[in-house]
Parts: sequence; C-alpha cells; structure tokens
Amino acid sequence: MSIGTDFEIQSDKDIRYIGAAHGASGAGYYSVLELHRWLQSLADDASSSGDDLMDMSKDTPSERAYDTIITLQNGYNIDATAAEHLYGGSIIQDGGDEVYDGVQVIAGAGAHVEVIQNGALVANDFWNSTPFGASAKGLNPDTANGISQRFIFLVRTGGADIDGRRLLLQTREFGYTYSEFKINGTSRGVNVAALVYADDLNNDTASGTVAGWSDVTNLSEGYNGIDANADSTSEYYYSKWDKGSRTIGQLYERLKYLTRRGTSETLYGLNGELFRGITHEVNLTTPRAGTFSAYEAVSWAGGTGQMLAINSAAAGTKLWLQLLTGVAPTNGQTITGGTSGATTTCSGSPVERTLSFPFCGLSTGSAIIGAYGLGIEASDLSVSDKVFDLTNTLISPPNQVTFNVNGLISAGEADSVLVGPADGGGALDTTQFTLNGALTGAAVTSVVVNEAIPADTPSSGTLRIVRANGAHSKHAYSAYNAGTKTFTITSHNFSSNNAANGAGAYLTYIDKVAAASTEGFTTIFSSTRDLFVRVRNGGSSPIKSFETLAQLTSTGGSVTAIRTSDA
Amino acid sequence: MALSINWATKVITVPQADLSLISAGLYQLDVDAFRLALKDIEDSEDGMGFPDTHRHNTEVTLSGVTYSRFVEIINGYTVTFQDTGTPYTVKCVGANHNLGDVKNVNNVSLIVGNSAGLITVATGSGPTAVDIANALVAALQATQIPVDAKRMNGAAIIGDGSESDPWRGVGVQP
Repeated sequence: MSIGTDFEIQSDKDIRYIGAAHGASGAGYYSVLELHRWLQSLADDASSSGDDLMDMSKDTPSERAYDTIITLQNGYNIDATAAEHLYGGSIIQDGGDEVYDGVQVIAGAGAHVEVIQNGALVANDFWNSTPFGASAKGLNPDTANGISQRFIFLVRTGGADIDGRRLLLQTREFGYTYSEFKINGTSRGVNVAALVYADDLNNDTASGTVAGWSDVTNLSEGYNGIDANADSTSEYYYSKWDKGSRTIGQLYERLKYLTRRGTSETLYGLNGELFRGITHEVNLTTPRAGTFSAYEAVSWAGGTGQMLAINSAAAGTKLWLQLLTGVAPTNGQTITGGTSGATTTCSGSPVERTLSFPFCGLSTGSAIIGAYGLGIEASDLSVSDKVFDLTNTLISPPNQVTFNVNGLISAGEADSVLVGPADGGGALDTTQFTLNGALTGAAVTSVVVNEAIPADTPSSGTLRIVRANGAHSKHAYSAYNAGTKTFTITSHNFSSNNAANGAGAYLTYIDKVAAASTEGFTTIFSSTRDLFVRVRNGGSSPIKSFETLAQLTSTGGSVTAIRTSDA
Repeated sequence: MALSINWATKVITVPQADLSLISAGLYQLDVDAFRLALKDIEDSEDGMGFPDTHRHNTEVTLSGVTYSRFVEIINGYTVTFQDTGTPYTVKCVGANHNLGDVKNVNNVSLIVGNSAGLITVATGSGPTAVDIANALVAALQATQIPVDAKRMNGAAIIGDGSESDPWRGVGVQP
C-alpha cells in the first residue's frame, strides 16, 4: 500500500485514514514528512483525482518547518484515527490550536508501554498493536536502534495544552522490570522516552500464584511510626506492609502484582496502575483548617495530587504526595483535601523525591532495598534488608535471630521447656544477674539488677528470681531499661517470701509448657550466647530430662529435644 | 501434705501420709511411685529451674525374669521421712535404690529391700599375671631369703654345719 491509497483528502479538507486497521494486512504507517510530501505532490497537480480532492486550485495544505514539524493549514486536518498511522514528528493544525507531538520509545522489543496523561491512563494504546506479520508488539519499531514504538500523540486541543503537554510513559508488565519516563511537556518534533523492559529475575512467580497471596497487606495507609532498627525510637513511613506468611522476596512480587498493568487493586485511593509512590515532600504552615484524612486527593492552584501521608491530620507540618497533574505546590499556596475539605499552606519549595520502579524498591530475592518512605513491619525485616524513612534516612534493621526448640509434645500432658543462660560449666546460670536491693514489697513492679542487661535481651519475656525459700519464681517482664538496669515486671507480692539483696536472677528465654511442637524466641543478635536447654515431662508418659547446651549465633539456632521414655 | 522439695536445702520430704501402713510402726514406700512424684515436681514451674532429683533405670526382662528398676537420688538431694515423734519403719519396695545413702537421720528407720543379682567386679585396672611375676622377682632380688637345705643333687644332706658334724651326703664320714 501507499500513502495515497491509505489516506484520502475529503472535500471539507479532512485528511482521513482509510486503510486497514492495526494488525491487519496492509495497515499503513507513514512519517509526518511522508504525509507532507504526499500532500505537496498532489497540491501541484492540474486537477484532483480519485478520493484526494487536492490540486493547484486548492489552498496549500501543509507547511514544513523541519522534517519533523509539519503544520496543516488552511483548514486541512487529520483526526485521531489518521494520527494513529503517522509517526516521526509533530502535526500542528487548526491554527496551532491542536497539536500532535511525536513520541519515540527506546525499550526492548515487545515492550508494552502505557501512557498516563492528565493523571489518567490512556485507554486507547494503539501504539502497542502488533503489526501484521510481526512477532512483537509495537508500531513503527526500529529494533536495530533499540526503538520499540514510534507514534504521535495529541497534547494540545481546543487551544489549550493537555496538562501542560506532560506525558508519563511506563512499563508495568508482571515478570519484567518496571520503568517510567516523564516527558515534562512535549516539544515539537520527536520526544524520546527511554524505558526498561527486561526479565526481572526476582519476579519469576506466575501471576496467578501471586494473585493468591492476599495475606500480604498494608496494615495502615498513611503516616506510620515503625521502629525498624530497634533503637526504641520509631521512624516514620507512609505504609506498614505486612508480608504475612510470605518471604520478603514474595512481598516484592506481591507489590509488583498490585501495581501491574491491568490491575484492579487500589492503593491509597489510586488504581494500582497509577500508583507511583511519593514524588514530593511538602512543608506546611499556617493558615490551616480542618482535619485531613490519613490519605486523600489534594489540590492547589496549578496541580493535583494524592496525599499519601501527613504527619498530623489536624496540625500537619509536612505532607507527602504523589503528583498527579500540573506542578507541585509553591510557597504560600493553599492545599485542599478533596475528601476532608481541610486546608493547609505550602511552606517553601517542596522537595522532589526519587521514585523507585516498582514503587516498593529493589529486591535481591532474599532481601529488599525499600523505596523512599516505604514502611514494612519491623518483624518482617531482616538484617539484610534496607529501608528509607520519610526523612530519606537509610534504616538498617537489626539482626533478628530466632532460637527454636523442636520435637516437643504439646497435646495432652505437654512438655515443659526452659531455655536460659548457660553458666560455662554446663549448667543453668542462675546468677546471670544479682539483685540490686531486696524485693520485699507487696506490689513490686521493678527489679533492679547490678549487672548490665545484655543487648540481646528480648524486649519482653520472663525473669526468674531466687527467693528466700530457695525457689526460682518466674516473672513476666514487659520492658527493661538497660540504662538503669531495671526490668518492669507484672506486679508481685514479695512480702512473705523475699528476694534478698544480691540474690540471683536470670532470664528464661523460653519458660513454658509447650503449646506447639516448636517453641522459640526471637531477639536481636549481639554476640554468640551460650544457652542451657531443658525439656521435661513428668506426666503419665514421663520422659527422661533432656538437657543440652546450645548457642544463639548470628543465624539463630535450634535444638531438637530427644524424648526418651522414663516409664 | 504432699511430697515436697526444699529447693534451698535440697531436702525431699516424704510425709507419712504418702506411705502405706503395713502394720503398727511399719510403713511401705513404693519407690517407683516416689520417683514419679519427683518427676511431676521436676517438670512444674517450680522445678524447671533446678537439676534432676534422681536417675532411673527401668525394669529389664531377661530370660523370662524381670529385674527390678533402680532409682538413684542424685545432685545432692537428700530424703527426709516425716518425723512424727514416734519412731516408725519404712519398708521400700518396687525398686532398688540408694535411699539408705541419702536419708536424713531421724526417728524413721529404713528397710532398704535392695536385692542384687549377678554383680560385676571391676576388671582391667588390677595387675596382670606378668605384673605379679615381675613384682615377685623384684622383691626376691631385693632381700635375702632364708633357705633350709635338705637335699642337694638328689641326695639328702646331713650334718649341722659344725666342725664336728659338717654338711655332707648320707654315708659320708665327717
């Protein structure tokens, strides 16, 4: 086919495509320069012929500024369908009131490219059509030069630019790397968008499988305090993802799934396909009024966005948003909540934050390097993971290690299990601590010890205290203060059976009747700790006491109880 | 009052009420039941912090004969039978045991009731026959051995070694 057969020039100066549809045999695609040349070749004809009403008697149909900038003039015009069959430059028409600009995508062959314009996904993605006879999708590709698609796109109509001619191009094919390229206002001619479209080696689970991982949830959308580095001070994030029963690598895959092409999931009120994460951090000041939602649409003169977090709903001094349209707010502009109606005022220039693709960050398969502000439950993080809080500070989770005692009987007359510090001589260290002051009160809640409380002490657990009658009473503690060497225990009456000043006390990391076949404890690794393990059952099927030494190392530890009958 | 352990002194107290009355002044202790009661205490919240009270080897059947279990109180624990002020005797049944070794002295006497079958004498640490022979030779060489010679070269020796009656063979004149 030729451009002459695929296009016609109608009497009302409409230039229309009449060839085959995308993907059909014979569908034609032509550069804007070819269109211009064709029009000019007809315009000098003595008389028109066929369906092309163009000859010397007609007004000049087009003008070329450059090979890539063609202006249709004197009322000649193309429509959206004709535009789908042109590429390689801009078409300006209607006296400049309507403009199609050229887009050229640099990406791997077959990339499915999405275009977001004016905050919405463009539904008619004709550029992803597969040409007749081709093996990969993408119109007008130039594989040798790494070009996957070329097309022209309407960026101005009715005399007004559409969202400032801003376009956002992205790839979100599940199983492949995600990427985006922002054209912050197209220029006349060809606008290049570089995208990445390659296998994601850490995203190799079938989409249908990941669809079932619904136990991965965001516990709280909005401003979240999480103590990810276990320093007793929360850092703040805009999410609190819980990986449920999944691995951290599977969390990554699930979050990709939620934001994949074609998703129907919603994140922070946005379709997952449109969700990108925080683009701007905005300082706020007075005047302010009302109470913002945890997240909501916001707007200001010159732009809209989706607020993902605010540090105080009623008196926020910072909010974090994803810019949807226009430009970020400027100093002094009023920002209004679309749902709440609350208002606040932008202070200074917003800080533009770097996006990650996908929005959650990077995965190594066994660890995640979180995107800016992405929060994950502290208990779901390991020492290999990294996250960045809303101040963009790198937070390194501590090495949470787990020690398990396996092989326990929990049904019926269950086993009793105790894991405590070893004394170096193969026995339980009952003097890990000594009391600093006698415990004699009727409602004691604080236990002060002389020795430093080890850094690997669980934040809550049980403490045994040697009493006047020689017994080692067990006390649950809910917190401890390493500085004052004080444990906070459940109120207990020590008045009738004191614990003397200097009496022994020791942590019991596990000290219970087994409720499952495996009992364990998790703590932050500090240094290798020698442990004493004891398992007993004196019920109707008694066993010999199982006692052994074990170690809690940087990778945790475990022992399996050997249950030898003692009947 | 039930069987109890004083964790500070490691004294296991057996109340008289836990014993079976056989006759006036004579009670019976089922040692197997006793050790099971100890195990029940050991796996309690109180007991979990402390070492085992005893070691137990169960019954063994050999050639149709069932050899009794044995129970050994260990780790410094001792046993006190409740002293009621009136002397009484406790007869132990059901296991061989070392209660006699760890019982605290009071007005209660104990009939141990242990019964040994074939016992094993330690071997391997005593002297060998060669050791004995060598030691004997060494001892002989280290001393003068008194000898009372009666015969020499198959013939009897006579005489008393004096000048008038010197040592000589039978039939030889002085």
